[in-house]
Amino acid sequence: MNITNILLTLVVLVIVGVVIKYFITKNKNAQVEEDLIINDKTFTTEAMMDFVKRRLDEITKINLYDIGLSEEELKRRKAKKYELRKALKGCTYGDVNDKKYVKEIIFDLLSKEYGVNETNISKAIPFDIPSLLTPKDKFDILIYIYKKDFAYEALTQFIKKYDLAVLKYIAGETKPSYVITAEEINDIYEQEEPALSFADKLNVLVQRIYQHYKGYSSIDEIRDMNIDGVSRRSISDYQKVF
Amino acid sequence: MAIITFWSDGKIETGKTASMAAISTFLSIEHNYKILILNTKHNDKTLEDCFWDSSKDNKFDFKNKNKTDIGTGTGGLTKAILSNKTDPNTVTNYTKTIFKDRLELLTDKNDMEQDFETQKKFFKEIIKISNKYYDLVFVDLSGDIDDDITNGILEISNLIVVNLAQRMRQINEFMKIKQDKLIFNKDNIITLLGKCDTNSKYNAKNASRYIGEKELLSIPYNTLFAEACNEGKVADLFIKFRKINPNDPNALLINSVKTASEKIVEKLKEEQMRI
Repeated sequence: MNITNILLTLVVLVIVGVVIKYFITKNKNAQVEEDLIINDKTFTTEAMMDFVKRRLDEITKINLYDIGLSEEELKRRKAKKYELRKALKGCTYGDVNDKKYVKEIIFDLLSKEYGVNETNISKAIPFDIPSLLTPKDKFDILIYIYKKDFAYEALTQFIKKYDLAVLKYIAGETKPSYVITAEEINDIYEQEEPALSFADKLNVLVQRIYQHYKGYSSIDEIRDMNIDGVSRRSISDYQKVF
Repeated sequence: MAIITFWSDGKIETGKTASMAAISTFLSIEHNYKILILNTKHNDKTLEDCFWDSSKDNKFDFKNKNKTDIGTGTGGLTKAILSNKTDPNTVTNYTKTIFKDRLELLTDKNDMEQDFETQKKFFKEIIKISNKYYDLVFVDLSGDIDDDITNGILEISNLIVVNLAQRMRQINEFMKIKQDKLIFNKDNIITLLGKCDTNSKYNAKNASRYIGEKELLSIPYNTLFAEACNEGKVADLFIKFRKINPNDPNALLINSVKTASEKIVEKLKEEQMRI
């Protein structure tokens, strides 16, 4: 063996060593999926929304060929992934069925993966302490309860029952207007005193997350009702006039 | 295009799930049917255990394999139905394949009782939708006949296989139900003795004479079959015994399953002729 061969062997060994070291360090620095860190902010609506966004993104963007599925399983996962992608796209255009499907998946993600339970759900929306609920929370709960009984006639029934479609004078306004005030919502909530199960609470929370993530924000549920239409303008004092 | 419900009142062990697993497996091997078997019980893995060894589940799974999936089994299908996604082809996306394009299983883990309660309301809908896609839908059903969901499923069934045990009390109870309930007086009823002992006084022949049924089917107890039901090897067992020697001690089981399967197919044809 001459010197050239020895040198070539050394060069090859060095290259192999460098390559091995590169792969080891690459794997060391790879992002490790961390378990859920539970702190004060874990069960806030914002944190849950971030989680839902991240998980739905993971589910719809993962390359199924990389995870070693059988042919049959791959076919099924692809069909389900396509269904979810279609639903995520459809719900932004206001498709009610796609909205239901996406909400069902968010419900599962929160209850089965994120660990939302009877105790920690109150950190997102304080269901057990009515005095801490905002008029918006109360309206969301009331409309959910009415929707269970009257489906898309919920808003109509709600307005009819409490005779809310009347002209009212609001403090600071010279002309009367058709409004539902925060005080009215508070009074109705006190009268109704809705008893919510965990599933009910989670459904209200899921709707809250959905409407900010894929829905039409605060008018999302109202928009689906059997009404002529929704006209929206910016209200500066949101707390006073609902 | 037919719904076959294996029913028992659920009070006594009748070997219903094992009998259904045996008959559906046999039919999928011997006939060119596309079959779905459906579990309607809460947190029950008996049917799943007949085809897969649950102890080996997820042992070698890729870490994120399940995290990338959404809604599996009956629960996932219920969610799809709730969202009005009722295309018959969607059913197959939520099943587990036993034999490709032949035999599939629809079941769920149902960790939460609440999930199961929601699913229960949709069983009838699931069965009806599945019936459009599969040739035969086998339903494993236990429960009181007065229960709306149980009764609803029995009403839409093309064939009801009543599962009995070799117990006098249960046979008498069934005879009483038969007198009271109109649903059990129709022609689409077959009676089956599961896990039976051929040497018992209450064998199929004597029981059929006592009940007044012309023909009462039976699936005899077989040690190999009982073991296969626990180890997830039912499919392997029926493939292995496809051409069994008539002198083999297991021939009785295979022949009984064959007779029961043929009787079911024959009865379905009779029912179709009536329509």
